[in-house]
Amino acid sequence: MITEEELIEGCKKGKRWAQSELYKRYSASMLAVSMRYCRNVSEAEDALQEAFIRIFKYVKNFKGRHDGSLSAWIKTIVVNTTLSHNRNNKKHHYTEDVDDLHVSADPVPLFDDEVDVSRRKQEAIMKAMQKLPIGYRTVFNLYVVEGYTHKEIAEILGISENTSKSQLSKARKYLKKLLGVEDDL
Amino acid sequence: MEINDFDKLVKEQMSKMEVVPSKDIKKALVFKMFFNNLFLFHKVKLVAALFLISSGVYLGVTYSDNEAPSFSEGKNELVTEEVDVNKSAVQNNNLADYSGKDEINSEGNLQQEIAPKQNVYKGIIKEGAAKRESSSQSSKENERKEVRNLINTTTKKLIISNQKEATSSKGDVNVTPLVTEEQIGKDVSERPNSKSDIVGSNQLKTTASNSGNNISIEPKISANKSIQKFAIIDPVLIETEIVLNNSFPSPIFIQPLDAYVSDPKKRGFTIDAYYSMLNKVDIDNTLDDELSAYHWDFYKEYGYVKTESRGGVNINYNWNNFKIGSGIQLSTLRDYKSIYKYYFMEGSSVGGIITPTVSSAVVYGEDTAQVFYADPLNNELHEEIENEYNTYTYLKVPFTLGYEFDFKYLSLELNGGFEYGHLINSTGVEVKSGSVVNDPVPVYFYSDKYIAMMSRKSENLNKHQFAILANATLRIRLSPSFDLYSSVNYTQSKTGIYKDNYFMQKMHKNYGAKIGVTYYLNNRLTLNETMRTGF
Repeated sequence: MITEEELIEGCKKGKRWAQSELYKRYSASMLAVSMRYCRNVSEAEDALQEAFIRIFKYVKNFKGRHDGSLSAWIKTIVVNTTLSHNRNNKKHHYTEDVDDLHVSADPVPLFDDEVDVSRRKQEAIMKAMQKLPIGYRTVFNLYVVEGYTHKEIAEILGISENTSKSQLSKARKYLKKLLGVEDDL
Repeated sequence: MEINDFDKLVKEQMSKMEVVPSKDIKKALVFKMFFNNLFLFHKVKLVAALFLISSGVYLGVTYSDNEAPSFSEGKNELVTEEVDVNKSAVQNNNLADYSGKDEINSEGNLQQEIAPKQNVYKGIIKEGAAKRESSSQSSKENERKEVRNLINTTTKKLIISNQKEATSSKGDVNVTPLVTEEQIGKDVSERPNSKSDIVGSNQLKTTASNSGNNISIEPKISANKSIQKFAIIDPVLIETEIVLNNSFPSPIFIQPLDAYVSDPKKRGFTIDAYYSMLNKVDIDNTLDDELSAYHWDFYKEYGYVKTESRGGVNINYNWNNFKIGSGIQLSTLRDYKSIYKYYFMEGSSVGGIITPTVSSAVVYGEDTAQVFYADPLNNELHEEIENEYNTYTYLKVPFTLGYEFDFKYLSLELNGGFEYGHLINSTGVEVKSGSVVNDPVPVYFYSDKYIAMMSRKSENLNKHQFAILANATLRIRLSPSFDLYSSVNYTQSKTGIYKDNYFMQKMHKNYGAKIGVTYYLNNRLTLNETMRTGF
């Protein structure tokens, strides 16, 4: 089994087997990351492709100890690339009002008793997330899933902290509604 | 649900989620990476682009200068030339050619000569105006000034020069300071070759005629035929003596034209030399049914981009924009192979020597780059062959028919045809059929097949190749003899790389670009000449 160190070294030398292996190991999880920020799989795949080109290009600068684990480094590049992709291609604004957001009459079931519960949960959350406006979706992901603070989100997206907080609150509210989760707020 | 619980649930589920990307993503990624990694390829592209652009700019500037010389430049050249002629005539006293004797006695000719004499400057300017009707009034004024300055300058030089000569020949002048009345009746041709005799009167003038490349100096007597007085040198007289005969057309460069140059239908032979460093090659591997079960990369997800480089020389015959060509070409195809994943177990240890044991191998592609030889009983690894790619080198002879669309500096050419290739070299590994006498046997293949290093003489290889080809070529004209061109080409093989009885068939298609130079055995006219003659 190829170790992570061997993989990194191989990628640094531009070896195709290493690039192929790296892609094989991380492409599925990273596509899921990218999909959270995009409206559909197609956009996410475009962003993923750009991200892997950057990964192969800049992997020579990767220093394991300094930059943390390889997966965290790759995830950071994928998130940044997807945000950049959205910003450049779609001219999205990250401050949107969702008062007019249409909520489906039949919420996506979050809990189910079927066998593949985890998978269904994931798909349900992903579908609901992709229905959110991009601003809500981005702030929610950066805060809840990636663990950024509002200050960091404000810097990344070029918005104010209050806007970030406001968008997170609204995103959470509508996401719950889309998922059919009772809101205790 | 509490906020924290909801966030925790979402984070947990999203962190675990995986979505397998479509196969096209990896293909596109491999393709992009392939070109991104080709550092040299980018350098070549840059150099070629710069070369083409600089050539185009150079040619554009050169030909635009030739086609439309500026008014001032042309006029200056003309004036300078004629004034120099007069100067040399005066300085050398070269008045032996009195071919204009008849004109001296001809009233009509005298009248013709009077007109330009009356206003020398206007005559000069008018020629410029006639040539360049579109020139603005201000530019005409500038031209007048330039011409005046030039003539004044030249006149001063002439005066100085003549004064010097006059001084040097002062003895002669002193002997005959003035011409007596008796001399008036004499024929001009009988006059001594003295400068004072020629330029000593307002009625005497020198006309510099420029007829093609032949320039003659014709002294003429105008107005009244009598010569009243003679002075050695008079600046005013010199100035008025300069008459430019502009009635002749500007000189045209004449060169012998052969049939190939003058007849667009017979443009003759051209020679192309070209090189294509990287062509993308799609190799379609078709595996025998009995082996197909070993492969699961049905969508060629793990296939690598194959490449080909080629270079050669073509000779073409051009007739009325059609061209037929053939030549010789050296082509090397690199068939990159997939590497499969293999696992080792703890090897058996006999006497402290550990023998690696192959536990399993996963083969991605139909054609692999690595082969293990292991003991079929205990999987002990005995030998490993690793070969990143096979190469096949062919000497090819293309036959093409094309048509050229000519746009002066640029031309577009479309060609189609076929090519024959003869295998001259091959490296890599091949799979041979037959019983392996000695163990071990390769892990991957059936026991009745084994791996061997390949050479040109391999009986599995097809020595003869046939393919159809097409290309589009953009040419830029460098000179009457040379073109620089860039071409996109497509080739599709009609013969497999291996023979039909080989366990895998390989048909291929090539896409790529090449750059080259074309030499015209029969020099074409320059574009400038082409426009004048209508060629």
